[in-house]
Amino acid sequence: MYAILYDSSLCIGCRACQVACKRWNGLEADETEGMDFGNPQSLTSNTWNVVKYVWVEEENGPKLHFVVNRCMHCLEPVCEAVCPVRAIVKDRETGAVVTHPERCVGCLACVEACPFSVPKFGRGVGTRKCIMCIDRLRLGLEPACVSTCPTGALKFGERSEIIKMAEERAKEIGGYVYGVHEAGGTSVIMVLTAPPEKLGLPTPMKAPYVKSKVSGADTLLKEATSMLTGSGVGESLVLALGAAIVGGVIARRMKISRKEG
Amino acid sequence: MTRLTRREFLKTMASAGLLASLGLSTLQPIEVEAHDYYWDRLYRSSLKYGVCGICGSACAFKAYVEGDSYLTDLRGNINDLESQGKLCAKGNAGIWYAYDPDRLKYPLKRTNPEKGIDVDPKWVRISWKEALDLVANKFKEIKEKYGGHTIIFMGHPPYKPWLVRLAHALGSPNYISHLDTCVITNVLVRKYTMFTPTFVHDVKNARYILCFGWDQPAKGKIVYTHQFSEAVKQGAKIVVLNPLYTTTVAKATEWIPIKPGTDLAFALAMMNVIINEGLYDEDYVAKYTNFKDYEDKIVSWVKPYTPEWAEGITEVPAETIRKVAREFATIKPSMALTHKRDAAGPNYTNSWKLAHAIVILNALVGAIDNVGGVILPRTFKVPDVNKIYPPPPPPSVKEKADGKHLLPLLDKLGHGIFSTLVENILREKPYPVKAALICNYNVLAFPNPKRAVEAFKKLEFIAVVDILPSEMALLADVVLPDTTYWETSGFSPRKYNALYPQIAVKDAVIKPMYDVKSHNWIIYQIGKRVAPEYFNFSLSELKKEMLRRAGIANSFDELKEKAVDGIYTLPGASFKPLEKLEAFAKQGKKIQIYAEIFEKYGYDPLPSWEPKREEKSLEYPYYLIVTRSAVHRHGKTTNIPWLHEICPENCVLIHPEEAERLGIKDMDWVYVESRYGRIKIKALRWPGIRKDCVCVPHGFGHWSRFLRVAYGWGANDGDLIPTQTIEDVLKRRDPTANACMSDVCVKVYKA
Repeated sequence: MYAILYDSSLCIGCRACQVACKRWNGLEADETEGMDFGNPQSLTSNTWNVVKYVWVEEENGPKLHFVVNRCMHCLEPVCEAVCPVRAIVKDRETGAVVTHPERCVGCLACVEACPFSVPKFGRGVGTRKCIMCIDRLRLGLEPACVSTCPTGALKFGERSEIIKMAEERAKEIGGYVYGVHEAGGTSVIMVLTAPPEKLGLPTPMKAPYVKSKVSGADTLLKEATSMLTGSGVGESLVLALGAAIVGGVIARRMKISRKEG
Repeated sequence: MTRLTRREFLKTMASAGLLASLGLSTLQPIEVEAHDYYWDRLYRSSLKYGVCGICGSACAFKAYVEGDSYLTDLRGNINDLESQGKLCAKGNAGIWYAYDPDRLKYPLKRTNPEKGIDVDPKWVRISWKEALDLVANKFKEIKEKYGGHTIIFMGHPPYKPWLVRLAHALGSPNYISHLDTCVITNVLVRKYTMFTPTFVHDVKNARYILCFGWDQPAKGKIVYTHQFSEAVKQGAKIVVLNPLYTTTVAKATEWIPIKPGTDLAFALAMMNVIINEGLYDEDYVAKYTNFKDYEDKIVSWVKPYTPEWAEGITEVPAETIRKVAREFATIKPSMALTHKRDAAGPNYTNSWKLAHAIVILNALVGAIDNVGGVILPRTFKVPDVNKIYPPPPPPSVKEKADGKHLLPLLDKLGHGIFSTLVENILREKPYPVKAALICNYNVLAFPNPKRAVEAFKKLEFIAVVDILPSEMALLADVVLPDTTYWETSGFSPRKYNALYPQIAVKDAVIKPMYDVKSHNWIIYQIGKRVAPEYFNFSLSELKKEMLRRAGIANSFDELKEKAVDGIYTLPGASFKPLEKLEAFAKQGKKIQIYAEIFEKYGYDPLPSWEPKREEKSLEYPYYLIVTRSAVHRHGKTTNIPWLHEICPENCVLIHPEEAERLGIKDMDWVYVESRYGRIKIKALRWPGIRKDCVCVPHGFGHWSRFLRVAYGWGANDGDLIPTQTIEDVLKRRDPTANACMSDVCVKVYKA
């Protein structure tokens, strides 16, 4: 199980990772305006990784911080659980949560469910997001963003090693670690120079959970999650199918609730 | 309009195969296996070694190419001292440069005699033979009619040997480069005070880094970025003097928002403290500098420049200056940094003196050619074409079109002056210019480009060698399409971070697209037609000879064989501190704290205080700062969609309180106006800027409609900056003829 380390104390917001992502994954450019301090303004189906510039008011005046906006690759991804057509699957070997846009039916269940607001639906391309360059991992290469990062702010390795590195670095600089427990743990671990909420990061539950915007779906979702967690890897076809059916039900309910809302 | 453009881009990409496999895979039973987007392609690719040509750093990279021209992967070359296996945003997007559907694809001839901004040249396609004959015949005709000296040759310094050869063969003394708008202050001052215009900085090992506006990490310069980040990690103290809070400042330990154009006073006060308190490195100074020879003069010169005096000028408390001076002299290794367009770049009338002051500061603490300091480069000396084949005799006309013959120190270096050239062409001094060969220079890079357009319109004939249909190409009579760095082979000695001699192999990564030729070949072919006696060698023979005489290899193939993974390092080479300085000392060359050569030519031998040219007033209450985006290389990458996405345009950065006072919100249209011109631009509130400054990043405001992505986005800061006459330069007694690219005050108001 791998993880990506993002050390914001070393990041200089140069955007090499953003362009490397576009290059490797062959993604089209988005339309934007203004200067480069956080463009594109949000993730899209063509933009899977954005470095944000955040001004934080501190004792000696405003200070500029950097933070990345990208798929966190949750250990227990809620997007996977709610997808009715298995268009999002977690690869338990590498830890990558992988989208299959060609299977996507555009129900937007994952878009609604993700606590980090990551998956984005694009017309004609389906729902897409960072796939941790799983095709590169299979070749024994690091993800494109990591391999180009000129400052060493992005690193790639075994999740346990990465957590160790992150904790050490955070201690050294008096920073904050994000991703070890968030949403039950993620495969992107961040070392932050300011508290996560000040950098605009969400503060999700610190346990594996399914964020529910659907009334009455809680129990079902919890069951689905415990089924997956309980089985360890959740690789059995029956379980996977079960999860898909549960997901389908939720997606249906969600659609209904969206209509009502 | 933009949407349509992007779609067309996408089409080209798709035809190049880049997107071909995306989204086409069918539903497969095994979940994650469907993701074979690229990996099978990578197996079919062949490995090529390349050298990036987006900026001067020339990072070496490894490219994987399928077939003739389909790039599958790109990585920095880990063996390269410069890139160290990394690439920046521009480097990652660089293939667009070759794939760009807006590229100049074949030679073009102008059919519309009218020239100017927004005038369609009505190009028609011609053959290479026709184009080259046309240029050669025109040059011959002008030479006969007005004399060869009326033809000017412009191109970046790497083109210099070729352009000088061609110019001299035609009897013209006019090779003109852009350095007065870029880096001339540091190049000239370092050349004459420390014998080599070095930009090798051992940032990685420095423990105290004092940046005089030095901002290379924020410009995405890989060669400094990885070193800088290493220094940050090691806990180095980084102090930045800059009126603008940039991403470099975000990683610094201390930000001193100094008043723009006053860094010289800060440096002088530091010297006052260091010399008065005896904090300098006695042994080093005695051994490697001429400090002892002029000690009395130096001590009395530095006397009036107290920190209290500097406080009044710089608006930095005297105590801070004193603290920085003491730390700089005691926390070692320490180094004062400057690169191109920062405080010591050609930005202010006093910048050349600051460049000298920084050399002195570094010498006083023993940072020159030392670990964690400014290194004298250890590079392979590769002879140029003029050293291998006998060059034409220097032309009889000594007066130069840009007037640099009046500045002997600059003339010896042979670089040019953009800012005075324009004025000289307009008033036909010292003689009228009739024709030009311009290689990869854009008229937007000039101070006051509208005036530059007027100047170029006066010429009878312009030939432009370029990759994109730039604004300069639009003014040309004949356009000759150049190759990109992806399409030519060669080798590239490492110049930045050159701790020991290293050379990078450069394959032709892809087959030349369309009907384009390399600029060397173009200049050679023109030369062959106008002066065959100087262009009678073969280009492949030349390449071989260059390698042979540099003692590297007997042929290009041999170099490729000797190179390890695309990089050839001098066997047994390692960095030995002070080695070069020692060699200079043995020749009797000492670092010129007191610059004897400046004294000889009537310039200040020691940098005395001189205020910048323009001060803010009630009418123009803001100092203009110019910076560059990390994702763009001036104006030449703005047509690349992936970079356009991150930074499509420039905005005027203004302090939130000032913005509120003027009733300006983010993305509001405003006018920025100086005495010389005005631009319409969007505003962006930026908390990290002095309240008396506004910043306009450079590289935007393209008016060439052929650049379909970049056209019409942002505004050009150059429109706010004046040209200068050679008399202005002589009056200020500035040996560098720096163009003072930020010495301007502006006002801002809602559009």
